[in-house]
Amino acid sequence: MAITEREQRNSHSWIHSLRAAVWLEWQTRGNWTNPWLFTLYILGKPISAALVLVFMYEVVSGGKVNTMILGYLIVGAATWAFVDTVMGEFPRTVLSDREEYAMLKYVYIAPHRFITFLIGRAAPRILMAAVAFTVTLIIGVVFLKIPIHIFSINYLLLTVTMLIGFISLIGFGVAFAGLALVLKRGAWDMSTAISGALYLVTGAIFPITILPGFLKDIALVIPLTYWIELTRRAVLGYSSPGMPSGWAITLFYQIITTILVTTIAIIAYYICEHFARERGQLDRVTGN
Amino acid sequence: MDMMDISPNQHVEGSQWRETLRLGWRTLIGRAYPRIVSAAREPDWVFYEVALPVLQVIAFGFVYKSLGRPQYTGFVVLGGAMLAFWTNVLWSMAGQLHWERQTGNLELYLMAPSSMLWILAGMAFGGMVATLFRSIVILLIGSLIFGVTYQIVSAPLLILIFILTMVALYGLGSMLASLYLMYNREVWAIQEVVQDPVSLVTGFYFPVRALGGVIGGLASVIPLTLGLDGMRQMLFPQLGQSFLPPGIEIAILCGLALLFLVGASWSLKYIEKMAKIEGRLSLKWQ
Repeated sequence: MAITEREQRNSHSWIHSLRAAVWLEWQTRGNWTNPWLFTLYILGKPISAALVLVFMYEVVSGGKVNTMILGYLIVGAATWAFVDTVMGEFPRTVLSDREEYAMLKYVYIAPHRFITFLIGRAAPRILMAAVAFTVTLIIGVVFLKIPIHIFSINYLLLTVTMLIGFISLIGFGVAFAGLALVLKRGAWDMSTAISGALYLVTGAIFPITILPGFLKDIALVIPLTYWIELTRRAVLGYSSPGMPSGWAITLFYQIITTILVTTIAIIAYYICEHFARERGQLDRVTGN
Repeated sequence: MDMMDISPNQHVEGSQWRETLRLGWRTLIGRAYPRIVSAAREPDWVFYEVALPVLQVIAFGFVYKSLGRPQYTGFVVLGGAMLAFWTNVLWSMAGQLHWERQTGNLELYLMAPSSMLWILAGMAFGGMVATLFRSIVILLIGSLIFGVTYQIVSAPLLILIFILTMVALYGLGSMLASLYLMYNREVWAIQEVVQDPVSLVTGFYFPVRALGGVIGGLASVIPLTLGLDGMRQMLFPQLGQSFLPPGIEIAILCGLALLFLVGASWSLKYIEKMAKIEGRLSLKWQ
């Protein structure tokens, strides 16, 4: 089937828009300082979060460290860097462009899909989080002797679960961006609030078996739970309590929950966008 | 002393002094007022400023539980309650004058007949009172969820350590508030860079002793490190893990409070001097 000129132009426009958004994000987030401070900015939070867990474990173990438990904590904290770094970027893009730079209305009426622009703005953050993820694991291996062997990592599983994980992150992020369009108060803190709740229920730093019954059920319908679990299995080679035993079934659950959450998220975004347009909130500065 | 002994000049000086004090006090109350009242008028803070830290406290509490040491959850609950103050100092004290510049209020502050120190004092007082309430709520909810029990060794010492920690901490915030005016767009990023590493080195969720003498000693520059350690010694004596004896911690906290209050005054003078030389203190989007 021949591609029409219009389809080709649309396709180029999509890529062009994504590329421009990525470039814009990189410029606005990266040009405020020298490379050293920027590196510290990328690595400071995830490494500190991982080390807090390490010292908590150090205190309770009295120096008798089980490297398997340490590995569990480090990989969970390292994977969480993606959630922490990427998810909040979507609403922050909306809010900073609307409230600080007053550019949102111009970006919105530009001839491209706004969702594409949002994804492009979040994309460099995935790269930043990937650097933080890798450095945190290297610190874990070199200084804390966690049992990760570079040749025994299941790279295929790691790549597949990461890619699906990014889709679920984008899904959550798009929904938050929609909410940021319509929320009057607390929009800046909204993603942190939801991220905090997810941190609690996704088994990032402790097995979900420790959660009360209803929270455990919630954990099992969130794709991030399976993502963190599969990353642990791919990197460490062992599973966590309370999770399906085989990697294939876990991956299946990750795919199903990702499709579910992403679909709901996109619908939620369009509903919020509709309300924002109806109420004239796209260029309304809330002052928050 | 007879009134006739006071010279007209002394009388005028005394009256000016009283007027300055009265103006300063009114400035303090005026700046503290919106911080306290906004908490009552905007109930959504309950969700963002109480529920959020509680979620974090619960998450870290579950870590101790999953590691088989639920008795340490008290450390997390107290750390979570004190974290509210650190967040307040970082975002609503240190970064405040920067936000005021962005919203155009800084010029008004600088033109006001009162000293900027009184404005900072008002910000600190209002922030402290509002955060104290939030902190108590976090402490209560966290304690109820994990069934934390406290064995108070000495209530007066506990209160003294808390007050000294607050004075030193908000002194640090006041000092940073003026120093941050030297920075612009990067303030937001600097805040983010600082927030989590400080949570690590001050031992919000574990005793700072675990970091060792050198790192713990360096981290003691941040008043929360010794403040938290001292309060934990007063509340959880059965767990041990203290970093320094309470007496020494109190002495260091007194020194820090003095240092940061003097530092705040000095840094304000320095910023005012730089503003006169460079003339860009209140310029936005530099």
